[in-house]
Amino acid sequence: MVDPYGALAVASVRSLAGNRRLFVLRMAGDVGVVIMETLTPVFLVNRFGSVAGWTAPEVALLIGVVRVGEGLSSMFGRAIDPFRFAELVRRGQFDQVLTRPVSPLGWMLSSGLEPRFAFRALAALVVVVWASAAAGVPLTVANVLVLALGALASATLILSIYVMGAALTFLTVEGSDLANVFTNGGIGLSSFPLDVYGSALRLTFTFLIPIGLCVYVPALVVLGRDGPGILGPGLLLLLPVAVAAVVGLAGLSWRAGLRRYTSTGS
Amino acid sequence: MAGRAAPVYEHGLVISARGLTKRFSTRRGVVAAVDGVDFDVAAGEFVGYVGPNGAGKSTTIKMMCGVLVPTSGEVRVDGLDPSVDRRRLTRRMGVVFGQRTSLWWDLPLRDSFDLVGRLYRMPRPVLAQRLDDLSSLLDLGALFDVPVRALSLGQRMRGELAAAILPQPAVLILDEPTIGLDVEAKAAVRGFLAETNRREGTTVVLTTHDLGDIVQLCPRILIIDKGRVIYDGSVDGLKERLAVGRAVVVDLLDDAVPEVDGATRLRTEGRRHWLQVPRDQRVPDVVGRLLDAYQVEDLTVEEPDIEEIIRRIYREGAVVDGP
Repeated sequence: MVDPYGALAVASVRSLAGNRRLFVLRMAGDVGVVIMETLTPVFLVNRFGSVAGWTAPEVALLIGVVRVGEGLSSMFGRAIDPFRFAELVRRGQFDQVLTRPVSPLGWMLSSGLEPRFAFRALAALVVVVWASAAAGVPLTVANVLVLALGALASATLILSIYVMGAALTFLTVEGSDLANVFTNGGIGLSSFPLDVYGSALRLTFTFLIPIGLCVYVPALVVLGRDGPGILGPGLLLLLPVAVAAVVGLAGLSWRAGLRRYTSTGS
Repeated sequence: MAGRAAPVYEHGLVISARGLTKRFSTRRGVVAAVDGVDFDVAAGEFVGYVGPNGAGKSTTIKMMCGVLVPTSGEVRVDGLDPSVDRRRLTRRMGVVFGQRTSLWWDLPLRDSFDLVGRLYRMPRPVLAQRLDDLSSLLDLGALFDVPVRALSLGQRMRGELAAAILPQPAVLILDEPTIGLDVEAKAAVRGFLAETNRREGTTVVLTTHDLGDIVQLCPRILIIDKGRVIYDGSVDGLKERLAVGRAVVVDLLDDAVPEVDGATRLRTEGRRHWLQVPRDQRVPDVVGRLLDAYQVEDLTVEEPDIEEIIRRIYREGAVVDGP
């Protein structure tokens, strides 16, 4: 099972290798991006002491968790990034993928592997560790597991949204920012405690696009806090169900899209 | 052809299409790119699939590979429905899209073969043996360590062919494999395809705009125009079906314009005249009449040109499928 996909991943990594200086520059850029994305809101919160009762390190914990997820999703999801995927379809390369005895989705995920995004995830992990310590999260196995679950669930959610966006590309053959509205939108939104938003937005991003379940709820659990309205640490039990539902939906959309795939030109 | 009964998969048939149709919705409405195509290809056949741009060649090919799902009708390849068993079918089918690459652009050619071996789960020794055979057939030895992006188009096409045939597919489908190649590279590709068809019994279907490919390679051609098959048979049969006769080219010593029974003058350039002799007339009779009535300096007889015939079909879209 692993063999063809592992070989594809190795081939794509080897295709990327070659320019070490570029690799170091990009890595530095990735780490810098994570630092900026964390520091800006943290400074902002610090200026006001707290936001909706959340201190700067507590907010940083949210940012860290969702950015670990983003880093991991970028590692695997670059080839189904809406614009890249549309380009691949337009150039007819996806036709080639369909003539191979492998799962097309497996091909896309493995052949788009970009290890440099591991550094983004790693930098975000440093943020999580620092923020947990500064916010006084007890270092227990349960807490580590809950945060890891949150980050992995975020990564899965973001990848699933990319897959749904790619499924849409089968119909339009054009790239669209629609998926990015949900991925980047969700990441930005979940970088702050859901307490600051109105209830409609809160519920949408907890139950419809469950990024809140992936980031905010695990934070509630490890910080021993309660959320507004029906939001609370108990919702953690819903997380696996929600992620499974999103993955299932993404799989179905991909299949439906593939059947309506119209390819391009000759 | 139409109205042939339903058994879709018969013994010995590798490809079988019945009422195969693909419609696309465009801004101008629904367009049938392929419109009720029927054909059978038996094991070991070498078939040319030809037609003007936009006739539906690539769309048919993509339905045979399972890349596109037919709107209606059906196609079976090696007993499988491509849109249902696409992945199973890929193991028995090699596909080459002439204008694209299936090789890994930034890696040495060797790595692409290695990956194909992994994708098709070929045992190492089998892969090595197979590569050895193919590299001598296609003269690949010196190219193994060259990154694909640094190969010439002709070299790359040799690499594509090797990669496609590596897992020993029962069917090889090629979409314009000779497009853009120079004379020498075309000869290499044609030689290899003929050899593969002969040695391994691979069923080959290729689309092409190069009529040299058809004449040299394909005992049988399917001509498609506006989504419909308008001819299915041999190249020679096509000449006969169209009843195109031979032409007599005559150079006269004076400025007379030859008009003889049993021939019609096609064109004239100075003192050279082209006379068309229909199939029901004998060329020696026409030549005899010419020699009797005119001062002839030189005279040759030309066979009908297949390129001209096919061009005429494209132009006129004539349905030449007989009774």
